[in-house]
Amino acid sequence: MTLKIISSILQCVVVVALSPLQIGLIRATKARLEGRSGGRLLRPWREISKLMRKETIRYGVGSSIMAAASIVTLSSSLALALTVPSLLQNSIIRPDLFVIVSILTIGAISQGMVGLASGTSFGGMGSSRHLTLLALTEPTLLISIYALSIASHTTDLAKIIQLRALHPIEVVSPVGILVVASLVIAVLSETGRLPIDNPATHLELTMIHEAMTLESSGRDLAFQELASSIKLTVLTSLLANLLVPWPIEPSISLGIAPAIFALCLKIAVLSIALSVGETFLAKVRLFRVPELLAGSLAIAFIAVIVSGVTTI
Amino acid sequence: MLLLAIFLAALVVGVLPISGKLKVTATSSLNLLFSATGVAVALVGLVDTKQTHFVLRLGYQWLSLGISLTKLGALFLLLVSFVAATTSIYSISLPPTPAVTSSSLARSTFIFSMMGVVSASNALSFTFAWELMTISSAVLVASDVKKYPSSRSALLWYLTMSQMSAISLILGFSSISSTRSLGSSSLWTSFALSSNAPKSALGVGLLLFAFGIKVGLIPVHVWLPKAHPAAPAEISALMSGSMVAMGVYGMIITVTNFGGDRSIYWGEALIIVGAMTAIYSIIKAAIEDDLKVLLAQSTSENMGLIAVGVGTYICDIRLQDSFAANCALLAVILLTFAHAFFKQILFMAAGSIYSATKTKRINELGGLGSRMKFSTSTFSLGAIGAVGLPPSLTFVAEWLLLQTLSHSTAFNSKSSVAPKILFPLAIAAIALTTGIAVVTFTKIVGVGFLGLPRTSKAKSAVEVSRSTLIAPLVAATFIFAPAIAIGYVAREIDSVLHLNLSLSSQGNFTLSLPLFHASITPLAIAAIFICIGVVVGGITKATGRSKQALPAQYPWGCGQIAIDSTFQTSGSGFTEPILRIFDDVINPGRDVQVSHESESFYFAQRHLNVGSASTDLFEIRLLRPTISAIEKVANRARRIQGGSIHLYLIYAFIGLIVVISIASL
Repeated sequence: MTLKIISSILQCVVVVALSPLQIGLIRATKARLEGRSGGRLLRPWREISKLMRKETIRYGVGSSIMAAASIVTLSSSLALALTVPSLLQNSIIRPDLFVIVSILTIGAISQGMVGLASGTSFGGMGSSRHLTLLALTEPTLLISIYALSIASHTTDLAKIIQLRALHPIEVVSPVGILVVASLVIAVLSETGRLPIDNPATHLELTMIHEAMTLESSGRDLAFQELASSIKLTVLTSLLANLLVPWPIEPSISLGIAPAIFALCLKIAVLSIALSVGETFLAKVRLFRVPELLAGSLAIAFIAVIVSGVTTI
Repeated sequence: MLLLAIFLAALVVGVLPISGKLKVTATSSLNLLFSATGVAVALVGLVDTKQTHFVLRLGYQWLSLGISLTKLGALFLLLVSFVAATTSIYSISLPPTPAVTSSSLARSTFIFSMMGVVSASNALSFTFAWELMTISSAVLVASDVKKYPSSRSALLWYLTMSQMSAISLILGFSSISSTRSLGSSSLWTSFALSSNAPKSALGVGLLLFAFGIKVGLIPVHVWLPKAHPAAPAEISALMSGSMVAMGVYGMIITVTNFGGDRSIYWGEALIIVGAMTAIYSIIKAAIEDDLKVLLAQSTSENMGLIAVGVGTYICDIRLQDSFAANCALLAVILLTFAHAFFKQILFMAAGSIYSATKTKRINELGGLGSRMKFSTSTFSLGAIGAVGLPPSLTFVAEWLLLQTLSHSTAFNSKSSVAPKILFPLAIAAIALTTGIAVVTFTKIVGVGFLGLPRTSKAKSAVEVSRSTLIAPLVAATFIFAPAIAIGYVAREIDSVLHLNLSLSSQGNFTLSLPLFHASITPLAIAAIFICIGVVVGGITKATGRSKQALPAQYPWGCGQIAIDSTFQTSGSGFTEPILRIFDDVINPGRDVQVSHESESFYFAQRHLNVGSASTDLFEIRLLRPTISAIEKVANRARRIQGGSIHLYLIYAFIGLIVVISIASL
């Protein structure tokens, strides 16, 4: 048990340390591709520490909600980092698919509360869109991982990844490819990346995540930014581990150093792919997003049926 | 016997012509005593090994009322009595109104009849108690007819639907019974002996239809969002908490006791209907503005999920996967309990909010969080249950249902094509439902309780008296406590109902399903959150001691505009994306009224009226046409009874000829 706790905390620390770097990498790559010089890799970390040092200004109405909800948002992301097997297989609680989705939901709700707390117009708009997209993404997320669970007879993510590591043919099987295709869309929607939400925009009428953080400042904002970047890293690493399920250690050992290195590499590759993709994509209209998500649900569903037919 | 005595006392008090306040207090206290006794009896019934069985013979052998408490019945008796007890506590604390005073008789009868339903041991007593429940609840729906004129049409819908329910209940019972009579003193088990397969399958279908009406499944759900909110808050809580649970109880005894292998035809149908109900009702709930109607829609949604569970049970029985089937059954029972607990909190909190603000519209609320702290927190606790976040009982129940759905196909290579496609569809439906439930309840909490008050009604709201908060708080502990001690709870239910889930080895806080390789510890999830929260909060406190948060005079709002409550997102605005995305399902009607300036048509006056009406698709497309078709037929049929004596003589003559000709054959 103690070993599990220590390894979970270690994994969490690594993920948290990496997450702003991942944002930095994405921004830097995008800037390079667009012909700008861009910021440094460490820039997001410095932004967060700057925000931590600045004073926190809260509007009187809903100020306590604002403080509490920021902490809950960060907690849910940290809980994700603790449970989702990105580096080690053993975590405090079983990385059950349904539990992870509910932890994601807690984060989304508290982020939505931040948007609604102070009673301004844009915050509510952002919350409304954010939660609607969450509602539409949940089925895809569940169904696509469910397709993987049919073969492995469990909804435990660590076991699914373990099984893929043992049978690499699963990764390139039709089910594997379909699942990854649908998961990519779900993850993009869940983390608010293009083409669903543009994290770089600050245009009031189109933004989703940024709209909810408009009223936050200082510590609250730092927590929320960190939370969203951790969520991105966790979900990218999950995707990466499903694609390349090596080397993930069962628990703390000497093999952890190459595992950390591999994780960095995997995340870096996926981030660069993401930023290349984002350079060529435009944001989809909000009411076209459901079509995209319905499409991804359909793909996931095909994966389930294929998996159900092929597995005896 | 004791139960009957207290009930009679409550009845006497209900009838006695004593004045308002005293009468309400007396009846409510007696109801409380009555339901507390019910809880005790249920607990004894759960522990007791031998079953007592009364038979009340009313003359013939086929006319007897059987009363006995099965284990399942005791479980549901516990639920009914608990909900009745908390709602009685709530109604003691309320100021008496004429409506409450006049309906006190019906209240006691309602609770009594629900207890009768769960303790009935033959079809006649079941039907009798069932009808008593319908009638007494109908009286309660109508009790506030002066205040809410809409409850008149609600009553009409309710009674019509209940008639349909009763007819199919009686037909169903008689077609599966071996002796062709409802009142034979035999127990439920005698039903299972009859062998006429197609007819008894039809009978099971009829029974499921009857109970489906009670729990508000599509397409006969129309009455539920009309009738449940029409009653006063505590009655709504009682109806949504325990009366629908009676429908679930009926479904469970149908499929477990006398369904056997005959109910196999209905599994897929139940899953499809349940999933459709869940999605449809939660979408309707999301765009609803009236708080109580919204909660009633959400009842329908939860019942849809329960129906999915019952359908899964049937399918798994057919696949001969008894472990998965019993998991589904456990999930259904847990979900029913969770729903009863959180729904009564929500209705009671909604009642408090209504009494403080005199409005049920979410769009007219706002900023209640700072004015009614306790009501807001109890409502939020209920909302956590409604959304199914950990560590609530709803979360565990939904987790169990999802696990069952995802493992039934995986396990069983024999499983036919239908479950292989239907089960994943059901998972997607449950996911979508919980997702939209998140939007719905965030809307209530975020729009109703956060931000600024939208109207003067919300601005002048004051917290209700402390005593009104006791009942919701008691219920709130029961959303979380069983989930925390889920290992214990599940093991007890398992041993009482003989589900054989092999749960005996697990700890008190973990629900682990060995065959599914799955386990869950809600306590651990809660502990992780609390630990992280404490750590993060501690770090914040430690580092930012010198820098207190600065209060701002205005929110920034993209340009530091003066704050105006109308700038906030309204409830309808919050769920507008849902409305747009699902507009084929919701079929919204929009109505924009512009009053123009007298000088020029191109200038609008200051006020625009924008209204949006949403209609029930099934009511408009299916039920209304059916009703008008029935009316047409009825009008034709009326012509037969023209009132002319010559006509009747002709009928008699024709009848005579027919009889003679048949007799002579």
